[in-house]
Amino acid sequence: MTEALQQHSDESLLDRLRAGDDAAFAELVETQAPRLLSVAKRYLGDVAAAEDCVQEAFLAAFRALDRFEGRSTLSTWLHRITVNAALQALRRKGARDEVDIEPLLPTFDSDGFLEGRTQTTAADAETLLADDDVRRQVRAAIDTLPLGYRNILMLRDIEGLSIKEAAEMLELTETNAKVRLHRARQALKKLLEPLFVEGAL
Amino acid sequence: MSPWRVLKRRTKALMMRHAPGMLTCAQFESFVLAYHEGELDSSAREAFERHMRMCPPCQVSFADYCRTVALGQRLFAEQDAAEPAPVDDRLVASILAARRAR
Ligand SMILES: [Zn+2]
Repeated sequence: MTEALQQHSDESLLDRLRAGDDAAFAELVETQAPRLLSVAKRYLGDVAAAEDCVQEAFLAAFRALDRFEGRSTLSTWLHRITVNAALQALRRKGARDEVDIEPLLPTFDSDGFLEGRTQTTAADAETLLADDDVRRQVRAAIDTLPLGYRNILMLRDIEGLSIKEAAEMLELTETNAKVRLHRARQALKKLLEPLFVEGAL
Repeated sequence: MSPWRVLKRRTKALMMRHAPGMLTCAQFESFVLAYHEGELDSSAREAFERHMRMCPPCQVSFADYCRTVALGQRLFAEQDAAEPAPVDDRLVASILAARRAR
């Protein structure tokens, strides 16, 4: 559907939703729930928690319908609300099996040189991800990052938000968000090192 | 480490510290995010790239950093482009029932 068509169909659906039309609510939930559930699963892992999250997100959206300004499509708006609900659910859940981030950050020797490899594989991300095993490894590595680092990486690199938008959602300053994002990527890089070492695949 | 390698590293350290505009590895590292985001001005960008040309570990580290970001960006690209799996009817019914119960 083109943007203009999407906007138009959103508008008529929105009018019906605001009028309290049951069929419109059913249409919205039926069309949007599948995608939102797959987004929620990325954050929460298990299906039951993701379903609770999607339900919460829809109810929050219904309450906020009057405040929806139509600056994004309904589906983008719902996506955002779902991510927020997932972040809240993670916060409530508290500590998980997380690695310590410090040992995953780069180290420098006494002369100030980076201690690291001088060779790496040439395979690009797309080639690497063609292997299902690699996809699982990347997902698992992201999941072991401490929450404060994982969330910013999810929002910036996976959701594709700007750093500023991601910082706002996580209630961080932009500077703090940048520091965390950088560390998250460094740690993930370290966790994924086996993929980059020549001859390891 | 062999005496020869130590000498080589020391010489390189001296060069890096005293060559005008040369970044240390730690400084290089602190610019990685800004460089990747395209936020550096041209002189900082040049200094960054100069260090990268001279320093194999930083070159590799930066290449792996870029690939790590790309892996995250592409991890769900296929899933996003595909039709999502249908949800359980119970979920839809439960959401609609919860709305009516408000
Ligand atoms: Zn270096």
